[in-house]
Parts: sequence; structure tokens; C-alpha cells
Amino acid sequence: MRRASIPAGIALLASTLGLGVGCHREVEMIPLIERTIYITDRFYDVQALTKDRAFVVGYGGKIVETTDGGRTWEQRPSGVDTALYAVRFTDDQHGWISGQEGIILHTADGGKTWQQQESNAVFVDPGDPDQTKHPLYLFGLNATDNDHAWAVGDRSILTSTNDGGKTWRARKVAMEVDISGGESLAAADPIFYNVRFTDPQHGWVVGEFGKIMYTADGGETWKEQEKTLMEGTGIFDPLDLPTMFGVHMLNPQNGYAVGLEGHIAHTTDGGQRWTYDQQEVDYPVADPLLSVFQFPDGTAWATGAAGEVLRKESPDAPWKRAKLGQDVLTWLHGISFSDPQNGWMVGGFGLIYRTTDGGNSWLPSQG
Amino acid sequence: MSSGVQSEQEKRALYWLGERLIDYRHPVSILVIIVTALFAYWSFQLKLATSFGDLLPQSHPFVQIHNKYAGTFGGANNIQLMVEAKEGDIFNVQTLARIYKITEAVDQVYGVNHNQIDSIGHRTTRYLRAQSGGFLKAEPVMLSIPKTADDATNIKRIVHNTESIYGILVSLDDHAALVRANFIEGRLDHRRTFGEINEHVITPFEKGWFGALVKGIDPLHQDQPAPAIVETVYHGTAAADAGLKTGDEIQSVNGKPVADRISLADEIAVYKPGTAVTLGVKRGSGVENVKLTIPEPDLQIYVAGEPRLYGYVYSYATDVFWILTVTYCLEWILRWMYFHDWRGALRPTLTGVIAAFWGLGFVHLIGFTLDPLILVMPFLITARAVSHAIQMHDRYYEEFERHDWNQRKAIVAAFAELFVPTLSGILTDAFGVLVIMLVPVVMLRNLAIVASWWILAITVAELLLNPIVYYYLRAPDPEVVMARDRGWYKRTINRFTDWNLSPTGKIATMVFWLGLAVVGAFLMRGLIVGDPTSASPLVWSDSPYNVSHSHIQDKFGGVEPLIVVAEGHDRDAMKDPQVLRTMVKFQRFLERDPAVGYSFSLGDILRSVNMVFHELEPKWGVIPNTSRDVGQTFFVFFANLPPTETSKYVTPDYATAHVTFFCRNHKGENVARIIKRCEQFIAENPMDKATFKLAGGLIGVLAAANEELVRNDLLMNILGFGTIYVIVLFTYRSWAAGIYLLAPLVISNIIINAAMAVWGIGINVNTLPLVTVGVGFGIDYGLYIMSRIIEEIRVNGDLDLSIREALVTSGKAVSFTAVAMVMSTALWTFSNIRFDAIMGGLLAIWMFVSFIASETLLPVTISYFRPSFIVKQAARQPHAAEVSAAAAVS
Repeated sequence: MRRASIPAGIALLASTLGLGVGCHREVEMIPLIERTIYITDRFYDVQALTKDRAFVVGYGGKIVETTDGGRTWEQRPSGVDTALYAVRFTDDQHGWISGQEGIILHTADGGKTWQQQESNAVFVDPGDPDQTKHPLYLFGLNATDNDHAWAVGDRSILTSTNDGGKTWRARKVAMEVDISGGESLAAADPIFYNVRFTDPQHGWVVGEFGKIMYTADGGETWKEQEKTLMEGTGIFDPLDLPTMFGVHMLNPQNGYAVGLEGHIAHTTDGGQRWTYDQQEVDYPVADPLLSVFQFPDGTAWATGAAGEVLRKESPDAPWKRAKLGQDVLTWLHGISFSDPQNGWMVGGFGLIYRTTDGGNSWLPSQG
Repeated sequence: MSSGVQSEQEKRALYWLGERLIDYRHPVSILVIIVTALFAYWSFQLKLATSFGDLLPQSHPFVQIHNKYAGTFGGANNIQLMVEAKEGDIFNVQTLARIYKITEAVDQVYGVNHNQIDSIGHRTTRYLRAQSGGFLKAEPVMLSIPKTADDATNIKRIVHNTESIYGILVSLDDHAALVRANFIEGRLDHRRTFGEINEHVITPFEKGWFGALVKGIDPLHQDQPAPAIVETVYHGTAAADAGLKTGDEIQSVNGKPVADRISLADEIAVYKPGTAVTLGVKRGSGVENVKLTIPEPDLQIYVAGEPRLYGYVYSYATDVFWILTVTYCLEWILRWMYFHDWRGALRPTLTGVIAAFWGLGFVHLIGFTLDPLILVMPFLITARAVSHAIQMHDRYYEEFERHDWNQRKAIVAAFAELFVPTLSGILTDAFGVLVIMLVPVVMLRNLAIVASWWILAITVAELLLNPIVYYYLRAPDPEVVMARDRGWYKRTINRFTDWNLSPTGKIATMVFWLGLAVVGAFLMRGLIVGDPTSASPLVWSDSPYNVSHSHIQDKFGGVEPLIVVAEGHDRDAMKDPQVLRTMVKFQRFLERDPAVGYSFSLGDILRSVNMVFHELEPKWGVIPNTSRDVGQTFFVFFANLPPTETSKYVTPDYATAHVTFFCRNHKGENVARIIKRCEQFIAENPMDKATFKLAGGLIGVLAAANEELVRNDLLMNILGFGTIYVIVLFTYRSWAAGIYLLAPLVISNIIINAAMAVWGIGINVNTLPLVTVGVGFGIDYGLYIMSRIIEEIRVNGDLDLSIREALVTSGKAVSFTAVAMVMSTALWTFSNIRFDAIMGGLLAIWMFVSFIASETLLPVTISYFRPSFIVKQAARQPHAAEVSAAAAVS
């Protein structure tokens, strides 16, 4: 027994020792947080299709869809990881998205899958011996039916399709006259931020230097309409006009454009004359307004940087700051209503706001 | 008699040595006194300091990356200071002005890197501003102290429109602002930083604030007096109500003179809000009395970060002094109660003090400093010294009685008989602690050397000096010596020993320890490497530091940096869109880990600048398509900034930048998981022009330290026990002896590890030394008992009788030492430093467990298995040693 005790003791000792040192656990990989919407998301555009169904697009190739009024969101694969700027559905199955790097995405199955289309929106530096094609940002997109769509962006690029996106024809929209006067190269090809067509013929594009361009032939030729805005403002140089970021035309006569320093321009005669709207605010809107939306009854909404949201409650009422019921401090970009009661606003920090009472109250949708 | 299994020659030699020590007592003691005096002198030169670099495993690749970039991108020594408005937001003139002044004050704190401060009040925090003519300029958010409501509104607008500020330096609810400062590692002085932040940064703007800006010391003429002259009085504040005006010189508060702004604030802070005080104010030529009602503070300032934490630890260091004092007094009282004799009460202290001087002096000699967090360690070694001394003292009294009150004979016998167990006890400790050197951390290696030396120094007092000291001291009264064998203590020991050695007792003991080991082994599976709690485990969870820490975490989501460096293969690599997009993708990926709060990279700046550059259109808030566009955007922002300001984001040649993740805590498991996730992302997302390198910042270096600890943990345990085994092997010349002695130790280790797991104490750079030293803890208890059993069996030839005899003699001294040490170590649990408290508690339990195990399990196993190396000693000639020793004496 005495002899046996030695190996037995060693075995006991070794096993306890082994227990003691072998106790460090493997790193437990608790799962990453899986959400559809993060605070780091930036949403640039929204389109409400029905009361409960909406599409939102944003940074990092993100497309999310809700079919239950924002209670839940589902991410749709875009196949890209750069920014998506604008979304436009023409019916409940067909839609387009435009984005960074000249991206055009198309869906024919209600947004479940998206296919990339060749936008041809590229820029070639005339002085570049290699003639490298640099893709261009396509900030704005609009479509009137399943065949006709237009996208605009950096360096006055316009690309359009009339065959449902099989082919896109891109061109630089020439300015009527060279207003740059040799002052700045940028003035020769201002950035286009938004595009809006009321039918396949009549459309508007807005952009840098207060540009409001109008076409009556589906985008072949363009006229500038912004000069009427200089009247009575003390501005004599068209280059000093505030950049316009958003445009919304209710019909070929009646529409709005919004831009820098809270400017809201309005036309009722198809753009022959644009005037700045009055605002009734306790302190002036200094931040840019980014998007605008008008209802057939003449009421309208505009969203902008630093949480600015303006509202026009009747056709004759002045614009006022809307009461959102909470402090919104980041920018809000897209705004879209499916009917006068139900609408959406989206913006930075992953914000998606929804209203079901015509905009009297807005509640965040968390996803 | 003889102890161990020494040959007669060896035993004779020990008796001879004891005699010679007494003969040559004068030269020996003079020599020891001189050397001790020298070490004592050195130990008084010792400084309490923490050298951050010494805590890091310098050979680890993470630490090398950290060292390479800490100077530019920010290191691990950040403080985060949160200014929170109690009501409303921070965007009013009074609050913004204070944020500006607070930032200025932080900038002036000793050791702060002036280019690595982030705050809306600091010049390096910039935004883009469009100037007339279409030019853009990167301007500081606050160029000067804000004065009007318009300034405040403007700052609010800038903050909300700058994504690199909003949510990062100002909370999303606008209630709080963050000031982040990085310290130059070489200039860390925790006590000074702590004091300066309290006096210059917090008090004047929090409790000492009464609504007026007071002029500070002119930085160019710091030596000149700077009376407290009112600069600005804010509307609607206590200062305005009191009628204070610009230019007023405040000279006193309630009659107590104040020399400058700082002492004024300190004085104001003393009074409760609502109290009315009288200020002596010099206006023009006269001095007037002004009634000021102390206002309720409207700001709360919270400070977190490693330098702050250590500041608190240092401020609690006086605790350590008091605990040590109380501990020593308690020890003296307990020993007096045991020995009924002032010699017994004080003599062991002598051993402790001499060893401490040798140890501390040596620390200074090798150029090392003492970290307040490891002060328990010296205490522990001193405890060992005292424990050996008590054994010797008790044995001396015993021998004194046995040798018919012959002092010299008793001294020599006690010395010779205890020489082997004492020496092997000391050697196991000294070599066991050297095992820590396996971890490539400078502090641990220094500590290992120091502790090893210190433990060895115990031999000087205990073995060299001891016989001499006893000889100089008057011999104790026989009455005092005999009193030790009476009384309840001795009776309890006797009774317990009898029960323990009875058949029932034996079985009960075995079952008890086996059960405890199994339960402990099960519980210890929860033991982790690194810190197991989200708050700092060094201080209590309700301590001011942890409260601040959690407040800042709540508002800003995370304060502990992990810096991942994107090292470019060539210049301008950071202008490559793919690299920048991968950085941003990395951020979005890791931010989904629940322990990561938010992150920051060059990509964020680029996106923010690109957006502002294009008239605030958020659609431009992206990484541009081409490196040319990226370059242009950087140019806009960085063009007219000095390299010192831009280098915190990117190196001047745009070759290398970083992604900084701010983590919510540094729990060991989180650190390990985050690093694993980083490695996973980096492997899956290769970049053409740059490579991600892990990892700087606090999280990075902690990950490195934890990895090194895990890597060496197994080896250290094996070597630790191995060392003990080998020394025991030589002491008893038996393969089995080690097993009997190690079994109680292994069980104590298991129980302590289990306790650490249950109480949430992780193994880290601070706890490791204690845990490793503890491996051998209590081996001396076993050694004394086993040696005594062998001594006894040679005399009486009966194993069970010998065990009983050993337990009531050596075992009694062991039990007293252990009980006294456990009581005094437990006093540490009163420390404000949670770490010291927990460690004190753990060590108390450790000592207690290994004492009980040595007193019960060891004798029971010996009695049960009857090991041959002990039993065969019974055959030896009794009294042989005594006879020969007597011959040697005469």
C-alpha cells in the first residue's frame, strides 16, 4: 500500500494541477449586434409606396424596406458598398436607385433583388493622356413610368433611359451661356443635386449656383430659369445665387425648389418666374434645406440640415417651423408621403421618422 | 535529536556553527548592522511611482506598435473629462466659457501632450468655414472665449453640423461636453496630475464657481502674485446678484485671505450651497464687503482614464501606512498574549524590519520604484519573515526548558534543529517567486528579483543574527516559558489534535479536503485573465473614480481606446479610397460588438470635411471616388494647419493613420474577443496599399499583457510547484515527501483560484505576483511539522505518537503564526483601494486554508499512508545526535 501510494499521489497531484492550469476558457464570441438600422447609418432618400410600405436608401449601399408601417425593416441586397442617394419606384414592382460612382440599380421584383445598370455617367479629364474614366456621383434620380428615368449628378451630368434602363445615355448638360467668365472652372459644370419630371417631356434639374434648368423635350435641350430669382434681392452675379438641393414639381406649372440658407423658391407658371417664399420663423433658417414635398392641395414640407423642418399648412400660409414633438439635431434629407396622412422623413444617425396624422406628430422608427 | 534526514556530520556542523556565531557575536552583529544601515539609507530614498512602460510586455508586437505610434496618435494614458450641465444644454455663454477655460486648464496640467487634446474649446478641434469669395478655412470651433448668445448659438450650429464633433465631443443630447487629453508617458506623475486636475480644473468650475470668471496666473509671469481679479460676471448668477463687477479684486472670503483664483475657488467650495459668505473686495482704492450666496453647482465634472485612476490609488496610499501601523500593533499584542513576554512580542519584528530594509534598499539600488498596488507584496514577505521568527522563538523557549534553563545550549539547539526547515522554507519561496520572471514584463521581472532577494535576506536576520540576538537578550523567566504549555490555547490544540488523529477524524479530514478540492476545481473554471468587471477593479465600484467612469460611459458610450494603425506601404497610402473605405467598414463592423462604444478614423474626418466643403449637402459625406479627390479634400482641411495638429489623425506624408475604437470597458473577455474580431476582419479585408496593425491604446496593451500572462501561466504553475518539489526532494531525500507537502498547497491554490473566480478577480499584471508567490504559501507550515515528526520518530519510534507530538509543538507555533497573520492580513480589507482589500482578503484566506491543510491533511495522510522516508527513521539510534552534539559543544 505504501508503494502504491506514491504513483497514486503523483497522479492525484498531476490531475489537480492540470485542473488548476487548464481552467482558462476559450474566448467566448458573443454575437455581434444584428440590427437593420444602426445609429451610424445615413439615409438620403425615402419613397412611400403605400400607407405601410416604404423604401429607404443610404450610405454603404444600404436599402431597407418596410411593409408594416415601420414596425420592422428588412435589408435588401444592393451588391454595392458605396452611397445610394435616391430611390424611385414607378409601380409596386419596378424601381431605380442612383448612387455614388455612377451607380444605377434597377428592380423588377418589388425591390427584392437589384441589378446594376450601366449608367455611363463618367468623367474624362481632357488633359489626361490615359483618358481614364472616373465615375460620377449621381445625386438625384426621377422616373415617370417603367421606361423613362433620369439621373443627375456631379459635373452637370445627366443620364437617361427610355427603354426601362436597358440603355442609359449620359451627357453633360451645357449651360446656356458661360457664366463663369473665366472665374472658376466649377461654374462651367455645376453640380446637379436633384431632378424632377412631371411627364416624360417636362422636367427640372436643380443644382449648384442656384441652377434651375428646365426641359420640355424629355431632356434633350435645357433652359435656365433661375435668373428671375435675382430680382429684388440685390444679387447681380448669378454665381452668387444659393445652391439648390431639392426640387418638387406638383405639375408642369406648380413647384418648389429649396437650397442653401433656408431658401425656398416657388413657381406657379412652369418656371417662367421663380420667387422666394416668405417664412414666418422666430429666427431665420440659416442651414441648407435639402428636400421639398408638395401636396395637390398646396400644403408642403421642406427638410434640411440641423434638424430644420419647415411646413406650409395651406396654399396661402407662410412657411413655418414644423413641430416634431422632439429635438432633431441632425440633418434630414428625404421626405415622402403616400397619402396626406402617412409619410416619412429620413436622415443622419440612422433616423427614420414616420407620421400617420398628416405630420402633426412624428415618431422614430427603430427597425 | 535531529531534524530532516541529515547525517550526523551535518548536524554536528550546525551545532558547531551556532556556537561559533555566539563566539564571534561582536564582529558578526557589527557587520550586519553596518550593511543593514546602508540598506536602510537606500530604502528611505525609495519613491512610490508607477512607470507605465514597465507594466507592458515590451516584446509583444502590440506593444511595439503602441510604442511606435503612441507619441503621434495617442497612447494609453488618456484622461476623459466630462462637463455635464445639470439643467438644460451646454450651449449658453456661461457654460461654454467654462468649457473653454477648463480645456485651457487641462492643457496646463503637467505631462499633457498639448497637441493631443480634443475638446470643443481647444484650438486643434476645427470645422470648415466658408469665407467670402468661396474660400474655405478650417477654424477652431472656439477661437476665443464665447461672449454673446450669438456666439453660443453659432457654436451649437457648428457642433450639430460637424460629424467629427457631434456625438464624440458633445453628447447627442447636448447636455455634456467631453475633454480628452493624452499624457506623454515619460512625464506621468500621477500624484501631481491628480492634484492639479482637482485644484485647477475641477474645483474652480464646479463647486468653486459662483458665476464670474476670475483672472488666473499669467503663464509668462508665473512667479508673480496673481490676485483674484474678476474678469467677467455672468447674468443671473450669484456673482451678479452679489453685485460683483469686472475689475473687482477678491481678497478674502469670510475674513480668510485668498491669494489667487485657485485658493478663492477652494475657499468657496468649502461652503454649502445657500450659505451666505462675505467677500472682501478691493474696488479702486477702498475695500468693501460683498455678500455672496453660494450657488448650487450647475455643472458636474467627471474625470476618468488611467492617470486619474492611479491618482486615486496614490491618494489612498496613506491608507496603506495606517493599515501597516495597525497591523504591527495587532501583531505585537497577539504575540505578547502568546508568549507573555515582550521579547517574544518584539523579536520577530526585528527579523521583519531587517529583511524589509534589505529588500527595500535593494529596490532602490537596482533603480526600481514601488507601485502602490503591489504594496501588499512587501507586507506578504514580511509576514513570512515574522512567521519564521515565531517558529524560532517558540523553539528557543522549548529548548530552554529542555536544556535545564541553559541559555547558550538552548540557543544553539534551536538554531541547529530549525536550520533546515527554515532554510528550505526560505529557499522555496525565494526560488518560487523567481518563476515570475518568465513573463516578459519589466515590472514583474524587477519584482521577481526584488522579492527573491528580500526573501533570501530573511536568512540574515533569522539564521545569522538570531542566535546572537538571543544571547544578548536576557534569558526568559522559566515561569514565562512554562506558561506557554498551559492555558486554553494549548488545551484546544491538544484536543483538536486528538480528534483529528482518531479514526473518525482521519476519515472526516480526508473527505472534507477532497470535497473542498472538487468544489474548488469546479468553481475555478470561472477564473479569467484580465479584468472581469466593467469598472476598474482597483477601486470599489462606488468610489468616485468608478462613478465618474460609468457616467462618462453612459453619455459617450465608451472611453477606453483601442488604436488600430493602418500602416501604409508607401506615402499617400491614406489617400486611397479603398483604404479609407476599409477603415470605415472596419469601424461599422467592430462597433457592433456590444463592448465597443464608438470609433473614430481619418475616414470620419474626410467625410465630414467633404460634406462641409460641399455646402453641407450630406450626400457628399462619403469617401470620394478617386485618390485625387481625397487628396484635394484633405488639402482643404489640412493645408494651413501645422503638422503637430494634423499628426494626431495621419502622418505628414499621408502614409499611416489609425482607427480608434472607444470601448466600454476592459474586461478580460471583452479585450480578448475584440482583438479576435479585429484579427478576423483584417484577415478578411486585405488592402492593397496599407496593412492594419494591432494594437495601441489601453485595450491594445492590455490585450498584449493578457496574452503574455496566458501564454506563461501553465509554465509558471508547473515551475512554481516544480521548484518546491525539488527543494523538498533535497531536504528530505525522498521522492514522496514532495507529494505529501504539495497536496495541501495544491488544494489551497485551487480554493484561492475558486475564490478569485467567484469574487470576480482576474489574473492580471497586478494580481499575478501575489498569486504566484502564493503558490508556495504555507509550505513552511508543512516543513516545520514534517521535520518535527521526523525528529520525534527518531526518539520514540512510533509514528502516530510522533505526529501528535509534532502537532502540539511545532503545530502549535504554526497555528499561532497563521492565526495572527490571518487576523492582521484581514485588516487590509478596510483599504479604500479595492485591489489591496481584495488581495488582503484573499491572502488571509490563503494562509488560513494552507494552515488548516498543513495541520490536518498533512498529518492525516502521513498517518494513513505511513511513508517510508519517515517510518524508516524510527529504526535509527535515538539520542545519537544529541550525544554527538553534546560532544561538539564541549
